[in-house]
Amino acid sequence: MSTRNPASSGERALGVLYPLVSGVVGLLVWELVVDAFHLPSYLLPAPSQILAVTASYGPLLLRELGYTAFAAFVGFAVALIGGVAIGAAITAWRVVDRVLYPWLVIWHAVPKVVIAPLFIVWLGFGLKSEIIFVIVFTFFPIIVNTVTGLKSADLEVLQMVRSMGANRLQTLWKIRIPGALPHIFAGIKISATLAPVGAVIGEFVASNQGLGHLLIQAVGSLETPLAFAAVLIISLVGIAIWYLTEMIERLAIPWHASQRDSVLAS
Amino acid sequence: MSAVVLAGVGKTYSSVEGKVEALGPVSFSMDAGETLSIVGPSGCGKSTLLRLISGLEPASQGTIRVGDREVREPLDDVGIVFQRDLLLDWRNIIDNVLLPAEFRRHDRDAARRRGHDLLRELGIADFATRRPWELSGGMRQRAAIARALLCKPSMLLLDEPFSALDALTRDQMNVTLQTVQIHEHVTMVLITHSILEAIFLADRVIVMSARPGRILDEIEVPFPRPRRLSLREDSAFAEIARRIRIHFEQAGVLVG
Repeated sequence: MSTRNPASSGERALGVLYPLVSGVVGLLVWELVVDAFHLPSYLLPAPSQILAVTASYGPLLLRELGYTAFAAFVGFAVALIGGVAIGAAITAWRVVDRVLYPWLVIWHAVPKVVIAPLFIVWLGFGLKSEIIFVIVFTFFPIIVNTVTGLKSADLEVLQMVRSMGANRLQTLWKIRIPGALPHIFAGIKISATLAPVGAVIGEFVASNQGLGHLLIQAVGSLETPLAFAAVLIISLVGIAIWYLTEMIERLAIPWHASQRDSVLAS
Repeated sequence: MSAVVLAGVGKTYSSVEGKVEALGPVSFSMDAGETLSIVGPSGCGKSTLLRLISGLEPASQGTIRVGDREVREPLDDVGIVFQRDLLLDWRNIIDNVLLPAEFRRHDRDAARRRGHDLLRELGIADFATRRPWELSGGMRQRAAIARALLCKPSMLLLDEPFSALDALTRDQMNVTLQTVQIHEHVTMVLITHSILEAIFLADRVIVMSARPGRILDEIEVPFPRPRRLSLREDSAFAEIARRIRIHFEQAGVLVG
């Protein structure tokens, strides 16, 4: 059934090669510009300087990353569980939809970064504030996508399972939730990559630990290469989370049209 | 006692532009094990009629009895095959077929055995563990028929099940459905646009008028089973087809 197209492996190689070449060329240009114009490192450090600082501050960066990652993970996990549950409740009960949805939209419209300092007033300084900030920063895409997915169930399929004697719980568990998974994963991918960003913003204002705090301190003391090193680590974490969620999505919904190429190829 | 009795059944929908009379009133009855085909122009209320019989929609007037029950809510021992196969992409074929047994909490092993038997009978036993998207349209519709038959329903309702298939596959599906009829002895209502299909599969054909659908004619189909596709070239078969066609010509549905 699965015939491997010889062109596809070449296509895949090109898919890796082009971004790689583009990235290397970009870094070389950056390095040459810094060198040619003798730019001071506090203004714009060269990539080689950033790498050297990343290596020399490795243990510190890893320790701070651990703190940030913990806050991001816990906040995201709560947002995921709570977001799916609230999304399911909004879909199941019209009264919840009518009461809750306008509040959610209003809350989403509020700029979170601006109100971040208020979290210190409400919850104090430290990890708790940071985790709560991650939750409010990430839960909305999960709720919206869960609601969209659960409401997108095929009406004829719902009629069919009604004629098969399915009750509401069976319909939710066997029809609505599996059908909504592609939408829920779309929300997860957005929220998962927002989680470390939320944690870092939380650390800007409400923490004396983590990569966000380190970044603010490094900028304040004009240790720009260290600030760039922190940004580099945060970016790498974001990329890693993106690919991790894509991998989990491939395993969870191999049947979905967006994943079928990889299924057929294997 | 008749297996199905419809007495003065009609359906009216309300819309912003007022009330739309979609069907009826229509009255007919069916014996157990009988196959009834319903043909009529698009929008005449054929599919609505099927939904009323299954209880998925309430009738606006009249009464429907299936067995000794009056239909007031969705019947739980009816198998329905829709125009689209409605297979769930996240389940393989056998798990799709087993879906009604899961909802009704039937014995899992017995249901699985029955499911595999049906897939064998319908000629897709080798595809039991394949995903729906790996199958052709005809194979998918066979799986949908197996799913509808799994719990040995008292009645099988088919709503234009082969309309999306090519002509050859459709002919083959007619033969396959006839085999199912013979083996399962299930009472069947088939909604179709195809005059030939309606006659080939039915014991009786009901011809409906344009909206609001009313019964124009009821025609007995006397040919014994199993029927061969070549029966369609028989003069008695052609005469029934002609009688149905004349109704549509008179109604302006068929011209020329």
